[in-house]
Amino acid sequence: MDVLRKRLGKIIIIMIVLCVITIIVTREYRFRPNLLDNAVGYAATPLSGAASSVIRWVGGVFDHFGDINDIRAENTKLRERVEELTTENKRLKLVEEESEKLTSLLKIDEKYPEYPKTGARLVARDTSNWFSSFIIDKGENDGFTENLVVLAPGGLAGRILKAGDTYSEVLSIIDSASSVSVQSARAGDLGVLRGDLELMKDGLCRMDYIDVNARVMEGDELITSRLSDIFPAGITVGYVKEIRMDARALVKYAIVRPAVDIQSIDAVMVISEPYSSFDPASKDALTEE
Amino acid sequence: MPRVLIMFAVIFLTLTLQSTALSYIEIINVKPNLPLLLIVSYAHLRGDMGGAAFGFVSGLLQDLLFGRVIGLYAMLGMIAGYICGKPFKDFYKENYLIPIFLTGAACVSYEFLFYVTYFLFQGKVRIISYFGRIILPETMYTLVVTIPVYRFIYNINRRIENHERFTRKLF
Repeated sequence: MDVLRKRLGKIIIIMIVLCVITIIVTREYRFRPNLLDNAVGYAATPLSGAASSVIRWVGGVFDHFGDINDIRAENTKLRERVEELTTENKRLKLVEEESEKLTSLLKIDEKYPEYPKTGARLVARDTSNWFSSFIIDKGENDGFTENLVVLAPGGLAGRILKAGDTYSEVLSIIDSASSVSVQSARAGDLGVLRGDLELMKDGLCRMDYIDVNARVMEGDELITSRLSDIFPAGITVGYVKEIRMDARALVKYAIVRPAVDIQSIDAVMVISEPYSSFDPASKDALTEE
Repeated sequence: MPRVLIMFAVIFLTLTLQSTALSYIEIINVKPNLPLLLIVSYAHLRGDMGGAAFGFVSGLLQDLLFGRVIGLYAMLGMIAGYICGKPFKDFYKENYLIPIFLTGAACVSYEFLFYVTYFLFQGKVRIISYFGRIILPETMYTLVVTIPVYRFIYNINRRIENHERFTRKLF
């Protein structure tokens, strides 16, 4: 131990160099989750899942107490009723709440019936303030792979960045590493939707490389374009909030409000086949719509 | 050995909290940096070697779970632990002002280094805006939770130290 302490400075420097090397290597070559990742994932996913559901429950309890006046009034009425009816009522309320959430997700499922989809729950979010990604409770064991497209109530939420055995990390569209080829649903003008560090904190992102002569306007709906190999065409992404001219005035860019409220999703739909594996004929059929 | 196991459990608990509960108590969409706070507190109590080891392990776990690259959190955690553990012989551990000061300084420089190593070379250069929107609020928020977390670590550490003293007498 004393030897270690004496050379601590040198050890630290060696470790820093090692870390820098792994940073550069893993940055250049997008890594597949390995044994170590999966081991940590196995341990952490159920834990985060349990924590998330406890937190949801606690949130529910607090909401409950928030309406205490209403509850008192309701309670006096309910006392006259039969006990069975009240329990039944409460049970139905819970079911309704849950079903409301799932219905909004189902709407997305119905909106894009062409694609096979699997549902998943969100168990954790990124730990730092610099990224916007989250972890869902299904992974390679359920057939998920990298770059699968993730939908949430409203439209496009992001894509899978890495898939472990029991979990996957999803890169949301407002993360600064994300870029999606989009077009205006009304005017057809193309652009690239990218996350931005500054806008991320407001839940917004930006659409870059819009032609100066493009007719895209405030309030326009943006959908994924047919240029992408990852994202199927025609999925709602967001709405234009504001259009700005670039300082050099060659291109325009737009501030976009995503159709999905990224900060508050808790269930998602994953299109369970990579878009590139769809056969060409059905791809053509999809893009012609 | 109990020290390693207990601290490992504490790290795991913190990372779980950081990734689940803390996103519900965000203020202006920013959450406090609990893992860093933990590293600083532990380094302040145990010196540079303990701090660096603790920082490295908790950073590596964070890398494996949430990292975009492997080694970034580990490197920053180790540096933070090492530097914050340096002056450990000079201060009383019962004083709360030192950990607050250390946390503030560590948080700003940690996030700044994070930005430089990860984002600067991607051409994201609006440093003042990022400082105002992310680094400063995060530091403020972390400072608010410093005292309870430091107390928590301080108590755990004192119990382990008592236990270690006891076992050393036996053998």
